[in-house]
Amino acid sequence: MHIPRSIRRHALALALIGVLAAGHSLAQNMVLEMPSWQATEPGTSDWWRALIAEFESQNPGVTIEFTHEPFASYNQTMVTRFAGGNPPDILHLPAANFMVYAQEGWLAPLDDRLAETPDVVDSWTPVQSTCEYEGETLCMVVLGYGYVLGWNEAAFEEAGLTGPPTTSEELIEFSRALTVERDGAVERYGFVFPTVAHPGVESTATAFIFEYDPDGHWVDEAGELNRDAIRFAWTQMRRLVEDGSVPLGLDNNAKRQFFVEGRAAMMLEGPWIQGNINAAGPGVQEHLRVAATPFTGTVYGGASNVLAVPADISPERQELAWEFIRLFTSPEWQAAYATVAGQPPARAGVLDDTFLAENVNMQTYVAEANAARDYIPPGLAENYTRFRDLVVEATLAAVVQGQDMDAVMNQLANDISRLR
Amino acid sequence: MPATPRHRRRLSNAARSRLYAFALLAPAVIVVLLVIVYPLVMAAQMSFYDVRVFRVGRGFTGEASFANYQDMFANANFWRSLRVTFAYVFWGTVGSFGIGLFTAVLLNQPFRGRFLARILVMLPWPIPGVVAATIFMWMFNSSYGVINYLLLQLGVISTSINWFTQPGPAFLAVSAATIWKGYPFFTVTLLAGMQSIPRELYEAARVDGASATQQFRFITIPALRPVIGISLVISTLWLFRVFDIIYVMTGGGPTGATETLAIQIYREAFQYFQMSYAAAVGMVTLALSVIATFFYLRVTSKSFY
Repeated sequence: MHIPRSIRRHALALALIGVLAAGHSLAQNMVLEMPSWQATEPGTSDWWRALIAEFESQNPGVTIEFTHEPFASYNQTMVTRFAGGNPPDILHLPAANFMVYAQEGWLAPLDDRLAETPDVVDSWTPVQSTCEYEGETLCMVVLGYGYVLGWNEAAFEEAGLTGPPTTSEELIEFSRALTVERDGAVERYGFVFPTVAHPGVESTATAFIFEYDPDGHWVDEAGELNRDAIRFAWTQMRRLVEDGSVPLGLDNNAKRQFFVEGRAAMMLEGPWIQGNINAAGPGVQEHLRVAATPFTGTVYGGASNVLAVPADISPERQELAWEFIRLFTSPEWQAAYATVAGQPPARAGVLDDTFLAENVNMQTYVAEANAARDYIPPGLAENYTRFRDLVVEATLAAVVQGQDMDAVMNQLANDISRLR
Repeated sequence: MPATPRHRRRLSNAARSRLYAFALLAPAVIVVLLVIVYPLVMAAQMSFYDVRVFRVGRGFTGEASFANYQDMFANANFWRSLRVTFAYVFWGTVGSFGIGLFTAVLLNQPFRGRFLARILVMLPWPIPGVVAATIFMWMFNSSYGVINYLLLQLGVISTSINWFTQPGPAFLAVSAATIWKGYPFFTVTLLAGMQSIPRELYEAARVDGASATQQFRFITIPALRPVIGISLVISTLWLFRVFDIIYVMTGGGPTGATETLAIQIYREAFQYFQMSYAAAVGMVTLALSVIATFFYLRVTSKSFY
């Protein structure tokens, strides 16, 4: 079939325009992937989505696909993706899992980029040190936190107590007074902490350890077990269990549920307790308060979650991922982290006095975050997950199962020495 | 052009049949090699190296050694998991087999509503392990679980048991869920086996004056032996690798009381990212499964007929 030359020319020109337009649109329509376990959390997810919307408006043609991954399997999913050569473009990570990614060389160093933003470096939370590995900064801390005490004011008034406890002795005493039995069953417990295998067991025990030894930890620099502090922590926790002031067999989710339903009068939690309080039903919510932890020593805390740039993505995507992190570090978005997400910002000096005066809880979150000491013991950062599980197992054996503390400590010392 | 003489050797019919059979089998063999043998070989190889996170195409670096196996045999947790696994497999098998045999005998009798009874008895089998585990978690809940309620009402206990905070009760709870999930398999296989036993054998026994117990002992059980053998093998292999029920109910706790080798492998590989060590534990689990299979088949393979 004969096609006139003029038509062929036009067809060729159109095809060329089409190819160029497609190429242009590919460059303009870049999709960055950012999975997170916080994508459905009320408050926090609102802040992430607003931040993403702002980033997208500043970078036309670039979209961030913000997807939800369940927390329980989050780390496994991310490790599998990295191992399979398919990392996300923006990595949001629980800080406790950071070390695996650092050791595998999966994260791009941020030092050169941070050198261009000295204002960020100077004003960032002290727990930013969590992001350092072999002399390089590999992530940015999103949330540095300290534990707080959630307490139910109505329950306290009913028990004739005027305010939250300030020492662990008071915590035990108040818990006993706040526990209410009716018809042979406990209607309300004074205090609640997880009593099945869960990281919350370790954090609760560590909070008690920090009261006994404000400068100490589970182990010292040489790896020796801090036996006196551990004995103190386990004894205090065992007293709470033996008094019947704590419900047994609950994990962390059930713990929060007990508190927001008014079935437990007190619990220890990070600043994300605000999400639980906001979600509590009417009749309970208005009575839920936040105070400093009832320990005289230092506050349990550290880095909660971090943002990082994967090393195995294209330089163009790395640049965009960094631009996103830069936006996240800006004073206005750090302030929004408090106003929208209800969490203490990692950047100092971004909250104005008026906002703080009107938000008593935020004052507590900020103060506790500033006073907090890192939950990771010296020399155990690389094996923290396994260390935590050992501590959980030992604490449950000593506190809930009532096993001999010396025997449990000997076993723990042996297990930790194998780790180190 | 003159025709070229053909020198091609002609295959015999038998050889052609064999070739045809191999050709038909080839896709299945290739799939088996890719899906089963390749990962197995990789896991075996990995167990001799020091790999934290396995990456396809990277190969293994460093020197091959028995370090993972040495670590494993020196680790008290491995021996504890091995003990827990044996106890779990033993009680799981005994419980499932006992209930399966009882229900199979029951359903083999003619009675009104047998069809409905068969459906009800089989119900746990298709239920996913995670769902079964969740159901049992509620049933064993220390505050409002039906198990504590019944035990309290019957006067068996005076205070509620905290099933998931103490080693013994936690193991019992996990085993109960496993048995509940596993017994219909025995019911199905044993019932099928019972229905294939010739009626004449029972009629002859009755003529000879054999009681129902004697018929069961000297006809039913011996005739079922091959079925029992293969069912025990399949059930044991299933119990060796049960993960969902245990992980959902206890996560292997408290204090490792329900941490079987399957749970330990998962934790080492995906919580602590010590994949080589996990592979070593996996190899031992595989070896144990193979030994158990040979043992069962040897004991029960004798034919009745």
